[in-house]
Amino acid sequence: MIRIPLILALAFFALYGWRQRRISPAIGFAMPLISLLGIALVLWPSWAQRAADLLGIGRGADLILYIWTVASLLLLANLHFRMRAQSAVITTLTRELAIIEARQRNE
Amino acid sequence: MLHERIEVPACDDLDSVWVVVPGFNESAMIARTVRSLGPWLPNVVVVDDGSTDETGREAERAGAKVVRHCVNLGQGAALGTGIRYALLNGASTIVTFDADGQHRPEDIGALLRRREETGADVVLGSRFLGGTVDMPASRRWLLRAATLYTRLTTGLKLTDAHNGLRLLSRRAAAQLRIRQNRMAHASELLDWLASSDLKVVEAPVKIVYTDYTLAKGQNALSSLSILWDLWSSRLHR
Repeated sequence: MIRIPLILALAFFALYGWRQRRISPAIGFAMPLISLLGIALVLWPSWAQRAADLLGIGRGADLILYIWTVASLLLLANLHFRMRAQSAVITTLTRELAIIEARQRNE
Repeated sequence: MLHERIEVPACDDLDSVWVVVPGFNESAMIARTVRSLGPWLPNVVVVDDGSTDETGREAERAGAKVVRHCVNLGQGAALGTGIRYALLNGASTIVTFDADGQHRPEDIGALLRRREETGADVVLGSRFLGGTVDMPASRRWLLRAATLYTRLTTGLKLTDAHNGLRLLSRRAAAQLRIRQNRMAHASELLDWLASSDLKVVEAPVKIVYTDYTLAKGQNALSSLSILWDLWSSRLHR
């Protein structure tokens, strides 16, 4: 039963990541990819163990933990880039306001 | 008379030369800096970058036009604002000049002459072609490292990578988009110049170091922050 909300949450993140590709291409492609991988692991849990064996990690749960860590870092990076985008908007607004005010004052 | 003091090429019209001076909390120096330019150049615009002191008022009293950011954005953003303001007011040539008194007004003449001789779109001041007064050895090494980094990453054969004294033609200034609000704008500018079709040359200038300018300048730690800003900006548009 837990599978359905997990798949829905991962699908949401895949969609969210894809929508961010204009702001951050790295996030736009990595997040859907990792989320889809997560969906596959929810549907077929034995794949995690097989992949872990293949990579020499030991346990499938560890592999998932590593993927989770990477995904969290990507989310943080995305937040950082969004902040930068906001900062660019603030710069433009501040600049235009300053120039309008200066031109009015100097007229 | 103006031309005698600053020794600019005869064909250069000083009325269309705009000097952009970004300033943040520079009330101690800004009036002196503006007055040093005033007799020669009628168009000096000080961008008061959200100062909490009297920088803007002091600059205005000294005769500069003042554009005020209501919040502090950083030197790169202030330069962007000043350049845009100058372009909107019909500037044919834009010179960027530091507020802290480290630049000499007569070196603007050197930039203008170099532009006239070479037809360049951009003239960058070089303290290593000109000279320095009381430059600490640590600052010299830091700047040498920055110059080497610039040579390696941009391919531009420059002798000085982070000199705030520069001249931009109107064509160059109109194309320039400064995205780095803070100190990384100097490297960003060089990256952009390397990828543009603009002609770039250097001119010898002199930089005067004082306790005041050193306190305002960059150190090894801030250069790491500049590198971080530059690299992280490459990950997104």
